[in-house]
Amino acid sequence: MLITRLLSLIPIAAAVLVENAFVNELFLQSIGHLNSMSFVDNCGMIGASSTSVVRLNVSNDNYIDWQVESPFRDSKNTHTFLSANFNDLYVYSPDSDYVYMYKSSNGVLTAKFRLNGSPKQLLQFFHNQVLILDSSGITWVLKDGNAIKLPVDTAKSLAFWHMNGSGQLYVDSRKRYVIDDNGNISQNMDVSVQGEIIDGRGVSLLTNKLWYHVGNKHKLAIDSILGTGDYAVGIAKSVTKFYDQKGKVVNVIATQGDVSIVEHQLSEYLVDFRGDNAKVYDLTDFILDGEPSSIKETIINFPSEVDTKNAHYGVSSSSYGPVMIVYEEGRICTYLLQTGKMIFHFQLNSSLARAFIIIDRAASKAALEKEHDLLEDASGSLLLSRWVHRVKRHLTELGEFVISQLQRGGQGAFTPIESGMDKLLVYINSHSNSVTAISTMDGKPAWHYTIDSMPDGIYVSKGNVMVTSRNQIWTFTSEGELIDHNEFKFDNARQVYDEVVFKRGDKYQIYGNSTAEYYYVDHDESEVWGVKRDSKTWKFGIEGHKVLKVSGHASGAASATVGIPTHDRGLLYKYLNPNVVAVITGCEEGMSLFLLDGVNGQLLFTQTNTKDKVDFNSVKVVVKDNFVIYSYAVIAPKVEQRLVVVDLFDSEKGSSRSENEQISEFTFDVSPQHFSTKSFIYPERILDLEVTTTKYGITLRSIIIVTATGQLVELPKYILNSRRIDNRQLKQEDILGDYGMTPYEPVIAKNSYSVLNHKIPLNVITTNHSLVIKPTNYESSSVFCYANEQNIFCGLTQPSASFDLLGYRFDKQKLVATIVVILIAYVGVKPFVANKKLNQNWVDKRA
Amino acid sequence: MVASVASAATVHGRVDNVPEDIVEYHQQRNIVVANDANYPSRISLEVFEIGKPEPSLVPVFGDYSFTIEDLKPGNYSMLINSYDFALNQARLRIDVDEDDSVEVYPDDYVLGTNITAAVAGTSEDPVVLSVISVKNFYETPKGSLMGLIMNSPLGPVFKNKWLSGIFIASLSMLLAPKLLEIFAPEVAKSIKEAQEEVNRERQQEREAKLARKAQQAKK
Repeated sequence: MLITRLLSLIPIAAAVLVENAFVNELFLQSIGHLNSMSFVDNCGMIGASSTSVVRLNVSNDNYIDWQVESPFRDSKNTHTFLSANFNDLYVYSPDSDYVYMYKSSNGVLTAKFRLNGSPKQLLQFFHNQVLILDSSGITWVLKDGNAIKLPVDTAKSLAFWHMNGSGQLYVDSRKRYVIDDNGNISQNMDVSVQGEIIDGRGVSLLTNKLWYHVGNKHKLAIDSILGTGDYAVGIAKSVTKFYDQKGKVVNVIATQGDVSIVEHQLSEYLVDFRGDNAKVYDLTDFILDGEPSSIKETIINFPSEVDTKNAHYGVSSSSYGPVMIVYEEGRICTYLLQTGKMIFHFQLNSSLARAFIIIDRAASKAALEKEHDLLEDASGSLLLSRWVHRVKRHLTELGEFVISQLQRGGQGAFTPIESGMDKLLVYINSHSNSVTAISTMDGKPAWHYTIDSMPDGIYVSKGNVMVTSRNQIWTFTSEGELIDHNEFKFDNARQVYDEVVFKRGDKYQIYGNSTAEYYYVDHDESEVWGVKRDSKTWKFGIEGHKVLKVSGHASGAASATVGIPTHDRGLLYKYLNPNVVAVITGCEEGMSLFLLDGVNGQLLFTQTNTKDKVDFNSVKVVVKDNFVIYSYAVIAPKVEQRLVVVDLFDSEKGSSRSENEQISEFTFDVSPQHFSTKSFIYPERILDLEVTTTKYGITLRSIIIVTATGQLVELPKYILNSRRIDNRQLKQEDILGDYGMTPYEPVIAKNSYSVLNHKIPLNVITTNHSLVIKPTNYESSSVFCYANEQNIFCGLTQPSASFDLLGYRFDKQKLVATIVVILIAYVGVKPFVANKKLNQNWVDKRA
Repeated sequence: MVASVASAATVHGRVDNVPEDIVEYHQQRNIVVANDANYPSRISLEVFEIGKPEPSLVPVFGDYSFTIEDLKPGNYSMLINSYDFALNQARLRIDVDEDDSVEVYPDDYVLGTNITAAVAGTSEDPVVLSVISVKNFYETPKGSLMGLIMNSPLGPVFKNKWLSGIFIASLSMLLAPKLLEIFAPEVAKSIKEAQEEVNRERQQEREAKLARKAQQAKK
C-alpha cells in the first residue's frame, strides 16, 4: 500500500532532465540566404535574409549570436544599415514605410520609425545619427528613438558629407543646406551644377556628369573622389584611371574584374575582384602625395572550395581595419585588405531542406549475426542440438572477446546491443540537388549524394530512401548506396506505411511491385475514395463540404494494451481497427470529422462543429491506437486553439462482448460500439501534432505538438483523455480504471517542464516542416525530430520515464569494484568467522 | 450623418515586473543559446481580428513596451505567450469603436471576459501585463541522495557551511554515548560510572545545602 502511494507520487511524464539538456539532443540552425553582410565588432557580423536578421560570431567557435525574425516577413529585399559606432542596426525594406532599430550587440528591438514612404536612401549623419530620404521625398533624421522631419525641399536624391564641423546637404543637386548636428539649418542656397550629385569631399563635388574642384570643372568619366577631394578615380572596363585636381591623369592601372573603392577612417583601398582572387590597391599614401609609386598592391587568393562564380563579395570596415567578405551558401570568408590574409572562416548551413524523413540505421554485421544465432538457438528442434549450438556460440564469443582484448589492448568488449537511438534524418536540398543523411544524435553527416535534377520528394520504401524528381526515381539504402535509378512518370506520390504509392492518371502503383494486393484511400478537394489495387471501390463526399485533411494509421503503431481495465475487473476493449481513416471536411457552417473504414468505406463515426468559425488551414489530425486527435483554430466568436479527442471502444462498459456470442465474419459489425469525446483548449496556436510510438506499444503515448512560439510540447495521452469526468465528482472507481484519471479541465495548463526543446525556441515560421517520430530499440523511448529549412531539433522522448535505460550516473566500474571488494572481504573474513564459531563452541557456557 | 473618416486606433502597453539578472542554466554551463539575452523578442503577442485567420505580430521593445498600431474599428483578440516568463494574462480582448475609442479587457479562458477591468490602452492608461514567475525548464533527476537531502527541510542547513558544521557537531555529541556503548563498552561503562559518581556527589552537596537552608529558616 505504502509502496503504491509512493509510486503514485512520481510523475510519469518526465521533464527535460538537467543532465540531458544540450547533451542528448541535436540542434542545427541555418543562417538563411543572406543578402548583405557587415562587421560590427571583433568577431560579430550582421546579415539579413528574407526571413531573419542574424548576428554571427565568426571567431574560432562559429555560432549564431542572435537571430530575430525579419520584420518584413514577405519582403525579399531586407536591408541593414549600421550606425557609425556600430551600436545601432537599422533594418528596412523598400516595401515598407517602417524602419526598425535594433541593438547590434543583442538584437533587442529599441525603436520603430514610421516614415511617409519607404526608405530610399540612408546616410550617416553626425554622431551616430542617420539621415533618411523616403520615397515621398521627405528627409528625416533618426535621433534618440524619434524620426524628425528636416525642413528641406522634397527630394529625389540626397548627398551629404561633413565639413569643418557642419554638414553639407545637397538636395536633388539644386539646393545646398548647411546643417548642424541638431538638424538646424544655418544656410540654404541654390546651386547650379550639371548632373546629379554623387559624392563630395571638402571643396570637391562630383556629379554624374562633371567633377567640380574649387573653381575648376572637369568633364571626365569619374566614379569616385578620393581622400580630401584632391584626387579622383575613374573606373572603366579594363582600366582604372587616377586624376589629380587639374583633371590630369596621374596613374593608370589595368583592372580585370569588378572594381570597388573602400574607405576606412583615413585609408582608402581599391579592390579588383577577379574571380579566383582579388587584387587590392592601398591608396592611402597616394591620396597624400599623388605619387603612383606609393600605391601598394596585395593579392587575396580565395580557397578552392569557395564557389567564386556564385559568391557575393563585399567590403566593409571593421575594428581590424577594412576587410573583404566573400560569402556563398553558408560559407563566409573574411580577409584583411592590408595584408590579404584570411582572418575568419565561418561555415554554417544556409538552408536545410523542406522534406525530411527519419530512418533506422542499418544494423551492424555483428548485430545481425547475433540475431541470427539467437533465432537458431530458439528454433532448433532437439534439446541437445540446441544446447550444443549454444555452447558453440558462447565459446566463439569468448574466443572473439579474448582476441579483441589482445588486439586492442583491453579496449572494446562484446558487441554492444544496438540501442537504436541513433537514427538517420534524411533530407533533400533543392538548391544543391542533393540528398543528405545526418545522425539524429550528433548531426554528423552519414552520407551525401548529389543527383542530376532537382529533387521534389523523399519517401521511405521498405527501409530504403526513395527520392523523386519530376520523372525520375532514385533508391538508396540506409547506408547511402544507390541501388536503383529509373525514369518513372507519375503525377503524385504518397507515403503509405512502408511503401510509396504513385498515381498517374487514374492508375495507382506501388513502385517496383505491380502485383501487390492492397487497399488505398485517396482524396481530392471534394471527395475521398477507396481503391483496391487499381479500381475505385467506394467514394465519400458531401455536397458543399471541402475535404481538408485525410489521415489514417501510420506504420509502426503497435499497441500492447487491448483495453482499459476497470475497477470491477472488467476490460473496456479498445476499438483497434487498423483501417480507420479520419476525414475532416469544412463548409460554410462549420467543420466535420468523419471516421471511415478504409477498406469498405463504411462510415463509423461523425462529429460536427457548427458553432464556431474555423481557420481551415490550421486543421491537423492524427489517428493512433483507438483514438483520433485533431486540432483546429477557432477564429470567431473567440480566438481559441482547440484539441479534440475521440476515443473509440468496442463496448460501452468494462466487459467484453458477450463471451458466448458466436461471431461470424459475415455478421460481425466492424463499427465501434462506443465512443467518448472531449474538446480541450490549448493557450497557444498549434502548428502540427504527432503521437509518440514505441517498439511494442507498452509505453504510454504522448502527443507532441508544435506551437507558434517554437515549442515542442509533450502532452501525455492521459491528459488528452476523453473519459475525464466532467459531470460529477471523481470517484474511486474512476481512479482505479483509467490511468492518471483527473477531473476534466477544458484548458490545458502550459507546463514548461514538458517543453522538449526547453530553452531553445525553434523557428517555426515556415509551413514546410516535418515532425517525425521513430521508436528506438528500448521500449521506453522514441526519437523525434522537428525539422524545417531553418532549424532541426532532434531528441529522445520518454513518455513513461525511462525504465530500461541506465542513467548517465550509472557507473559500471564502481559497481564491479564494489562487488569485488565485498567478495574479498567475505573471503578474508570467512576463516575468522569460522574460528569464532569454533571458539564459541569450546567456551563453557555455564561459567 | 457625418461621413466617417478612415482612421485607426493605437493601443499602448507594457510588460511589468520583469526580473533582472536572471541566471540561466545554460550560461552556467557555458553553452551558447541564440537570443538568450533578448527576452523581449521571446514574448509573442499575436493580434487576431475576430474572424480572420492570420494574426499580426506585435513586436516588444527593449524596455518591454509595445504598441499595437493601425487598429481599424472592430473586435480583436490578442494571444500572449512568453517563452521565458509566466504572465498574468493569456488573452486580451480589444474592442475598437467607430470613433477610435478603445477598450481592452482581460479575456481569460476559464473566467471569461472581465468587463470591469477594462483599460483604454492609451499611453496614460496602458495595457499592463505582469510577469508572475520565470519559467523553469529543467528538472533535477530524482533518486539522487544529494537532491533528496537538499530538498528536505534540512536543505537550508546543508547549504550553509557553518550551519552544517554545527549540525554535525551536535549530532555527534548526541550520538557519541550510544556509539561508545556499542564499540567500546568498557570505556562507556567507566564513563557512566564516573558520571554517576559525579551525580551522586552533586546530589549530596545539594541535599547538604537544602539541609543548611532549612536549619537557617528554623533559626
